[in-house]
Amino acid sequence: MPHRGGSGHPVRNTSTSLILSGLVSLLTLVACGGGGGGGSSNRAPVANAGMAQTVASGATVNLNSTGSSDPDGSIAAYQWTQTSGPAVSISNAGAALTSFVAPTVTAATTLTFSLVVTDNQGLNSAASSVTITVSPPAVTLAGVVRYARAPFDLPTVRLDYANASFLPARGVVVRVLNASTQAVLASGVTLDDGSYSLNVPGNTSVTVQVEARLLRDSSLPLPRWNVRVQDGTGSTLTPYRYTGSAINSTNGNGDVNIPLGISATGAATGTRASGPFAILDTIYTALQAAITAMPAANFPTLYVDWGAQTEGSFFTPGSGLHIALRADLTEDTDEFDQPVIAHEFGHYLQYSFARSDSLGGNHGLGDKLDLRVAFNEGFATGFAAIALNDQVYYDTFVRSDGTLDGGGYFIETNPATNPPGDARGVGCWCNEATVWSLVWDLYDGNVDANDGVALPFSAIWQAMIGSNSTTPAFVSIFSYIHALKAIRPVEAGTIDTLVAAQNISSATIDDFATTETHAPFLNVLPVYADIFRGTPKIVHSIDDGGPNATDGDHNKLGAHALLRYVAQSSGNVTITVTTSNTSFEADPDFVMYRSGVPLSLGLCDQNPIGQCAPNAQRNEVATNVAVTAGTTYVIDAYDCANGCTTVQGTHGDYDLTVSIQ
Amino acid sequence: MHSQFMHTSWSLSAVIVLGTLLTGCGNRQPETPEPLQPAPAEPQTTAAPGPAVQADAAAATVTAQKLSPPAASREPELADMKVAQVVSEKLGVPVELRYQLDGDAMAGQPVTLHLAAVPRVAGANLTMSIKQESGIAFAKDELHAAKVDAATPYRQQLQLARQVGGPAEIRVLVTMDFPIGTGFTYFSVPLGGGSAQSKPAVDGTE
Repeated sequence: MPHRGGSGHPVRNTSTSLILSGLVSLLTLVACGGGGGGGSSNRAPVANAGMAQTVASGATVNLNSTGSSDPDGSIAAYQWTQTSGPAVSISNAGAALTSFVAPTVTAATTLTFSLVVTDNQGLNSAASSVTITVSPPAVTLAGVVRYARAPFDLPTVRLDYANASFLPARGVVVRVLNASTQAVLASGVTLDDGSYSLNVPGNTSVTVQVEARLLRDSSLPLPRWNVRVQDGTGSTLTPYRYTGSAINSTNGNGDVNIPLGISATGAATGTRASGPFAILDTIYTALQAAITAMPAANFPTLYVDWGAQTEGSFFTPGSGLHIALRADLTEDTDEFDQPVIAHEFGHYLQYSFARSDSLGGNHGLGDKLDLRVAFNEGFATGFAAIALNDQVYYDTFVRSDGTLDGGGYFIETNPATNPPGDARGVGCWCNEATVWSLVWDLYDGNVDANDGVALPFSAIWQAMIGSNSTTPAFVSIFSYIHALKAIRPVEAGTIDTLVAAQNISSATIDDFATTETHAPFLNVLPVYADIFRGTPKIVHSIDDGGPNATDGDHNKLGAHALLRYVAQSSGNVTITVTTSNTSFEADPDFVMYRSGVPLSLGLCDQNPIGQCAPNAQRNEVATNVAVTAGTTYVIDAYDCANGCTTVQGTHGDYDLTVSIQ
Repeated sequence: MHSQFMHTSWSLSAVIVLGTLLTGCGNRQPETPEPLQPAPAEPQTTAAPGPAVQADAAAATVTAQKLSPPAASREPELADMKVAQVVSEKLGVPVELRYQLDGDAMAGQPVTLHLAAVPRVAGANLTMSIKQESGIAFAKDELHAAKVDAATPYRQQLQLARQVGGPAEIRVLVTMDFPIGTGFTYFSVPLGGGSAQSKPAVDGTE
């Protein structure tokens, strides 16, 4: 039992055993000639009082000496002594392991204890100290986390920074830190109203830190997710964080308002702290839509890159799943463009749970796209409209002179309402606007021209992840509608009416568009040409848009010719593609797929010599391609002047002769 | 509601005074939100004055100010012009932007920049303008074509001068209206180097 001295500090416990131990040691040294020069002198033990601890008021605190040691014997005795702080009663000050009950304090209080050990020859160690910090009794710190959002103003088609408001930050990680030590005292996730409630030591100076991360981890049942916004493109970066001012945990206001950092005219006035949380809140909305269809989903970790290094807005499944969003206030910044964010999240969903065969690449409204690109982009936009329940798709930007502006599209508007032959975007299986208008019309409750169907998103998504994801064809509006009709036979008729109005032969639709008759221009039908072993097939790689077009972007309609091959027998085949392109750089490439998985590459760029044989050999050959009887394959053939990401040669309309031997 | 996008977009552009938004426009780099620090102001771009010159463009009204008064040079063949890269491959305008520089802008001398926006589909209200940035002087006026035909080049030529330490590229904004909305795309035009008709590999889904 320590005794309190006049100063109020505890005094050392003059232990009888310690005195005796000293005397024994002294006698031993004398008997041995003072310990100098002998070959068997005893070395002192080493005391270890353990690691510093932070404990709550009233908690039982263990003191542990097991780290102590003696280099040439054993430890025979222990002595714990309190050296500072409010006096406490050590349960057994002479034990290797002991404890005490932490006092109840009103502010963080430090207690210090000293340990001296004695070895089996009575030699004492130097003292070892340990610090115990006692926290005041826990209190509940509650508050609401809000972030500033600049709204989209439809009448002026721009972001309205002047009317930014604070909205609840939903589902984000919130931590309470000790303001002095930065130690994490408690952590949790905000609720749908942005609120949080955490137990922390009372009467302590703390800060509330909000991390730009949506988290529902393994401590909770499915669904689960982990989405974070970071400044960079890696997978190990720290998410953005915003930390509020220091407050007292007992009587402080735990609310956190994350500021905009942008003036009414769109100029930065400080750190744009609310941007990451605006992005997350849109993704949170999209997640809620997704879990209506996948209530037990385990969403793979998603990284959102938003910062100075981000040159573009896109989804990429490279090193981890990433959404990149632009953040340039002088050109284009996307943190408040909710449809753009939800669109990219739609790509993430497709990639993670369904299947995407898209080629990627540039695309503009009204472009006649490769059917894979048209469907992938159109579905993502349709998903965005459904998730946000908003048929206005907007994407704001800054004009060259600095004025705020915006672009936008009405998702409800069907391209097929344009006059027949109108080049500005007629209904087409190659038009992403056709796809998004169909996805939206399948969902919305409006009964308008040709739209008598209203499906829950769960049904729309079920078609995505069903047979549409395993089709031997490419994923397209054909395979999707085919899958949807199969799972919704009651609505098949109304779906046909809707789809047919977009110039798609819906009534007899199948994955390979076998009966499709609508051709945006010549030589794009059939969508898939059937090819048989031993019978060469001539198909076309077309400079997109017809003979007057000037651009040969690889992802436009016609650049790639698609063939369907059903193997009649198993074995190895040789596939040859020859182009009619006579230019020096002529390069016919092809890839064979099975259910979207590339099997055989006939890519000139991978030729060991590094280039195609000019003129004399305008073909590409793949030998020993193993095929299985009864399996359906797709061959994607193209002239690199039209179909490569890096254009090779002069755009043009070229015949491709494909043979399987 | 179709016309609302188009109308409001254009009316907005028309009424906002040039330059009022430039001062302090730019913390282009979102930073870690703590600690709070004021963003640096971006210097205002200065465009040298000069007489207006009518550029050649079919079905387009083009007015471009030039740094020096020589007559407009002959427009290059479209096939000889390089293809500008888009800055962001999200949904934009169906336009290919081609460019040619009559000289090495990196050398610091005024050079003529030829631009040609080639729509892949028809539309309306095509605009083409160069982003004002510190270190580059050029004409301010933007190209505007009310009626936009597919596969028709909408040309603009202007002189620009890159100051020492100026950017190595310029950004060109193209906007266009459609029956169901308005789109935009920023293009990147390098002031030195670059290969004709080359495009970057795409590794993402836009």
